[in-house]
Amino acid sequence: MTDYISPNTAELIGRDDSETIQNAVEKACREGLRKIVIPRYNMRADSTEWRIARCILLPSDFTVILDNCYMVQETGAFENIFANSYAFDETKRDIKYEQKNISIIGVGNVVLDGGKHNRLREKTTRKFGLPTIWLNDIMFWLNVNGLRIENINIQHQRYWAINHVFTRNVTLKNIHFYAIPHVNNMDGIDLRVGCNNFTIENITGRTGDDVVALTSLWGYSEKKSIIAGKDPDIHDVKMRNIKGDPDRCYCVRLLNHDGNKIYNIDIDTIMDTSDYVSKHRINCAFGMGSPVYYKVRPMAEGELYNIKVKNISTRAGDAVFFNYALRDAEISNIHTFGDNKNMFSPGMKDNGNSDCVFDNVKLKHIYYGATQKEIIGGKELSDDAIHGTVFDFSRAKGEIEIEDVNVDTVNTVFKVGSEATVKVHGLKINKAVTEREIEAGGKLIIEGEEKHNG
Amino acid sequence: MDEMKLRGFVTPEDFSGSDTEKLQSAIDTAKQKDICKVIIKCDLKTEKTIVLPPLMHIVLDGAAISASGDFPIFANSNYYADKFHHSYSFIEDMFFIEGKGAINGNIDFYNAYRVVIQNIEINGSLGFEFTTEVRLENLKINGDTAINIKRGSNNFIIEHLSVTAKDIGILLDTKETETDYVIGKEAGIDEIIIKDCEIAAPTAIAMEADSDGAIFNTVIDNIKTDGTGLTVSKRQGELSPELYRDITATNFISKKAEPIKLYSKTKHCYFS
Repeated sequence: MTDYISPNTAELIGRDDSETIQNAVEKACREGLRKIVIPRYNMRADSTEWRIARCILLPSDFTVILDNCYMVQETGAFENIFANSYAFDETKRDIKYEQKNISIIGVGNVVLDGGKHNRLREKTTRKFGLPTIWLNDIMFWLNVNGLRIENINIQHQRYWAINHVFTRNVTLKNIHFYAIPHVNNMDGIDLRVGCNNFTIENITGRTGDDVVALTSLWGYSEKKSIIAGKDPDIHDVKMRNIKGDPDRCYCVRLLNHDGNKIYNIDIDTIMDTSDYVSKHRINCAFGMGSPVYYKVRPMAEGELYNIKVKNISTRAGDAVFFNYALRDAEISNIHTFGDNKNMFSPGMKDNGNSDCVFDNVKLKHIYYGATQKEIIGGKELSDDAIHGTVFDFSRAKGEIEIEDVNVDTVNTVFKVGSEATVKVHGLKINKAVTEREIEAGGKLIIEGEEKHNG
Repeated sequence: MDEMKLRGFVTPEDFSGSDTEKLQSAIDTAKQKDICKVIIKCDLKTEKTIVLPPLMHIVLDGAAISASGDFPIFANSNYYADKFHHSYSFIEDMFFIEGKGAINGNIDFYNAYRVVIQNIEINGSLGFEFTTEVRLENLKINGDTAINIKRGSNNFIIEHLSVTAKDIGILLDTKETETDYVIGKEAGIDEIIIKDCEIAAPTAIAMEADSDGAIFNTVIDNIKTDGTGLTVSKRQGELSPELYRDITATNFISKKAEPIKLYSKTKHCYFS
């Protein structure tokens, strides 16, 4: 007598794999077992793949064990592989309908595959008779409390691989991605409005956009998915070992606007694994804010706070981006290498208005080790050919404390804007074309002594 | 209807012959039938290395597997590949070893990708060369050098291990012992994360770079040991600091006065 239902049961065979698995879910609920095991072998199709033409909808208190199976989104379908059963039910948009305790656990070598792309993209979502792009997620979770996803390989996702909206108390662990970026927005893990209390651990591999993105934004779909009784903020998220290559995007991104907040974020280890020799560099290892994506107003002071990040290693164009405001933050032990250009930068420069107000922000143990290709090749570079800025606070306001800075060859170490005060203890520079550019009104204080341009 | 496929796994008990023959037949059949999972319920003693094909899940269900001699108990096919397979194109993908039981011998991987070994006891050592994307979690390992990460290996997450070693707990070593290469792969060791381990050994973690293989972008945190926590270049001595760069080693709980010993200059390393 087993404690689960397998879709490889004759009476459960449906017209396709989706119906077969859904039948197993329903039988598991009827019999009180509340667990299915999807094995590698698909008896219905006599094959070792499960082709998902319709989303498998999961109820509360349910466990899916994926046992060495391969599941793929069916060609031409606009369906997730898994979602909670109320995810698309517009009559259930209230905290009282919150679903709970759903687990998807991989055993052995499990692969979830986006398969052949169906041409549904952000540019065509809800146009030309096409549905919402959210149906292209591998997994979609809306209004769930208690979710666990572990030990899964996800490849060639059609859009964001795992998408959470108004979902809380989630563990995501040991998830590996492999995506060749042939379309935009092939994110790994997304937390949208209203997500909190997440533990995200051991996320590896290669995505076609951000590896982990926390974005509290009011897009069209988010507005249609508001859950009564829940606030839109993202908070209390712990991440550990985010080790990936986000193609041209971010390893970890925090983004909030329109009054939504992001706070209590604790990250231990972000490693940019983009290959130095053969691949273009990524955009950013850890980015906060952006001067685009808002509907009503951009993020304001006091809306991004209590952010702690340690152990970043990257060759991104910009290691850390900041925009608009940052309060009560500590970022420590950051290493750049390879063709990294800048370490701390204001965000997207061509959209303007990306000043950043700093309040109680500390940066510690900074290692700028980028080395331009030409220098590695033994070429002697003229000063104006040496690139990069370690600390670009030209649009910063407020005070920033920095401790233990170690700089290899760079163009500029400090750029300080007219409303910024930068205090530094422990500074070692190997070679810099310009140590500091300070605008009138700005202050750079190194070891207690105020410095001027030079 | 193939009952084995429906069952979802193969066991050595499905076959006759010596322990070696039964176990290899189980694995080969699991691969050939695309079942890709072998459950081992009885103790076995092997007379030669069991070759693992890619996309294989090995589960010990209360069993102990021992080697009758000095050879790896498990190795992937590339471990014995001829020189024409020394290319990134032939990398072997997806190996998963776990279960309640013990492996009394060594496990070696060469030119492999996505290897997971978790929740198991190993009385021997784990060796990885030109292997990438490895996760070792919740292991109990007893060996001379418990884990040997060799040249060309990168992207490891090693967590929650209990290690007892006569010499070194975890060794990162880029030295070339014989002429070897994998086309498309660099010789260095990088992107290694080692956290939350207890290592009883004279040296918990040792790093030995070589002139063509640096060790870099590594984070080590929260290691409890009765020996020296970390040695850098003890065997090789003074090398260019570029060969040991961007290494973070923090929170060693060691009985030694000097938990971290450096025998070479390093670059941009954070030790505390």
